Amino acid sequence: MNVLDIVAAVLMLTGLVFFSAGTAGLLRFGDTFGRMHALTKADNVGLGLLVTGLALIDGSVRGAVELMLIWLLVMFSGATACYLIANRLTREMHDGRD
Amino acid sequence: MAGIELGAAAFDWLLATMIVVLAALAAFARVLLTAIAGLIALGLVLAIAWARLGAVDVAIAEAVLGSGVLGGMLLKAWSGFAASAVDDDASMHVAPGALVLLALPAVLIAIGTVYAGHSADALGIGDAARAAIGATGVSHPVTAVLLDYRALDTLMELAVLLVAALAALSIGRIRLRARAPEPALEALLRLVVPLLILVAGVLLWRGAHAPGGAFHAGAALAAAAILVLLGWQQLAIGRALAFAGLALGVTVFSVLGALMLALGGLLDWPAEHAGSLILVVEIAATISIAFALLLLFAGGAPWPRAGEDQR
Amino acid sequence: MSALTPYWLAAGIVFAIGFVALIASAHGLRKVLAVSLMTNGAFIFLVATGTRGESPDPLTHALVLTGIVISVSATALALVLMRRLHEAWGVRTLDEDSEQ
Repeated sequence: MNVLDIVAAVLMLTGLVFFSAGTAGLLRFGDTFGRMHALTKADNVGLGLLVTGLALIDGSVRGAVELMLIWLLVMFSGATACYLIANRLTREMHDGRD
Repeated sequence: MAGIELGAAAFDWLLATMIVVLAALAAFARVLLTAIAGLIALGLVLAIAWARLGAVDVAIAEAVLGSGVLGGMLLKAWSGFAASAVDDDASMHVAPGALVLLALPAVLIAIGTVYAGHSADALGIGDAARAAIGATGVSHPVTAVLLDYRALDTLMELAVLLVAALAALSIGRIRLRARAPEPALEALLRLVVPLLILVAGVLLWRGAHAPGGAFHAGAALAAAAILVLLGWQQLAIGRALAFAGLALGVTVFSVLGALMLALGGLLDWPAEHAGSLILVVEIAATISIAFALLLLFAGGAPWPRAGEDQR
Repeated sequence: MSALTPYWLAAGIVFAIGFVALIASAHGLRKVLAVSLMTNGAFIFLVATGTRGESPDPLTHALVLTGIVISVSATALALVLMRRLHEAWGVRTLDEDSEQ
């Protein structure tokens, strides 16, 4: 257990805390917009911390680049999915009012 | 160190608990969409379990096929039912008393599985498989089993996939709805679809020496095509292309395997050319698997049928 | 109690859950989910079997890989069939006395 392992463990545990916060928001918030807000933001940060910790454990440049790419892709697709759901919800709300 | 072993055992028990909870959710949730979400999540947790048990090929396949493609198919089927404006039928159609009677064989199955797991001996075929791997032309044991030792099984599996796709083509009706363009979705797909095709190529090439292979590559290609179908609601595949693509894998595999009769036995690749032969078969199989999964997802033929219109 | 006990238990319980749900559920889509659960239970058992011994057994891994592909294609065909039944006759369950 050297310093690098301890730093990586701390980073990953902090990432888990963010994931738990996002899930708490998912369960506790009242409407869908708030839930998506909490989930997308918290999960992306949590994944970033997790990925950084894993990159430190792996140690190679190639592994770090691959992990960062995974994080970027998850952020892109998560943001797009969140936007699509919110767009659909807004349209349904407006159609309901007409 | 005992601490690490304790932590590893705790992780195993945590995984097993999550698997059981998600399975119960997928089986008994009141809302059908929750049950489907439970099955998709179960696929991903199972992928972690496979990786934990050292089955990396199975982990990749479970994540792509068992969670990704299957999840997409289930959600598509669910939306087809939900559109009929009648809520899903969550009721059990056996009486609660009969359910208790069912619990008894279920408990016996669970106990029997645990007993069987503990009492069986280790199989030890793995060592023999690894010992003979020099003559197979690939260095990854699972690929060697799939495409050399048990090549006949893989050929039959491709045939099963082909038959399922043909049945879906003849029974199903495809439903493509033109809708307003979504710039955000199209921007994401323009980034992700080429990446997925690249990932498919990497998985196919790596199959010879690392976890990967034709099935993973074919599933990734199918996922890319499914994304295009979902994003642009178009499937520009004609009859000739579809049938050619579907038949390619089984045809190449069986023709090459039959040619081997002249050299030794059926499907018996000679040691010095085995690597190249397996690669050719895997490329053909990847294309066929991608076509089959795409058409199974689409649920019907994308060309107009005689005497019917598309809607 | 070996290191693989949680996985033997998970395999048996997941299979049993799928078995009960298959018989008890009315909706066709739920039956498909139940069969998928039984398949996954069998896979957990197979992969856990391949983990005993010194190094992982590639034969069981190949079996499960084949099984996953076949299970997905069979499920897809079942979904296409159910979709067709629903479109043609409005059928959602497999009961004899369901609505026509």
